[in-house]
Amino acid sequence: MTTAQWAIDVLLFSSLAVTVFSCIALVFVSGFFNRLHYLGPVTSVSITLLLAAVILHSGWGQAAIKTFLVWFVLVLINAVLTHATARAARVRELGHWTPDPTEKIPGAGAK
Amino acid sequence: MERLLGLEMAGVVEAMFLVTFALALNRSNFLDLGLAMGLLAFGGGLVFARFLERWL
Repeated sequence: MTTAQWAIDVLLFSSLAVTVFSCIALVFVSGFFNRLHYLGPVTSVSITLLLAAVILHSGWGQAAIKTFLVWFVLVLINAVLTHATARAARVRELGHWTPDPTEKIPGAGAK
Repeated sequence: MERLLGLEMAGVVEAMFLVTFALALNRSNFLDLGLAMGLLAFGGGLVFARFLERWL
């Protein structure tokens, strides 16, 4: 096994490990807003490791450019999607998006 | 709302799976499917989030 092949295997396994960890956490962590955090590792760390593996495997060719486009879509667009989902959950829960002056936000402004 | 979260995660994982599949089989046309899946997962998730926010 060459060094490049070994590196590709490590990158793919790391990507898979992050994805599996996030999926398990998504199932077992309690609370919607806590669960929402576990979309982050997959759409940032995992896809970046996968992109690195594809570049090592295929070089700077068509496959790398297309995978870079997938990376771009997942990294950039998923932040928007996560925000939209959190907003929808808050509106469903409270009926409005803007904070009340009397609202107590956990962990904010504690003295 | 938790189900929407599951749908979003499934879309992302599926896009990554299609990229890995293309890498394993050396068929670069599967990469287009991964890209399409990523875009559709975004569009679908956004529409569902809006729908849940306004009408349900």
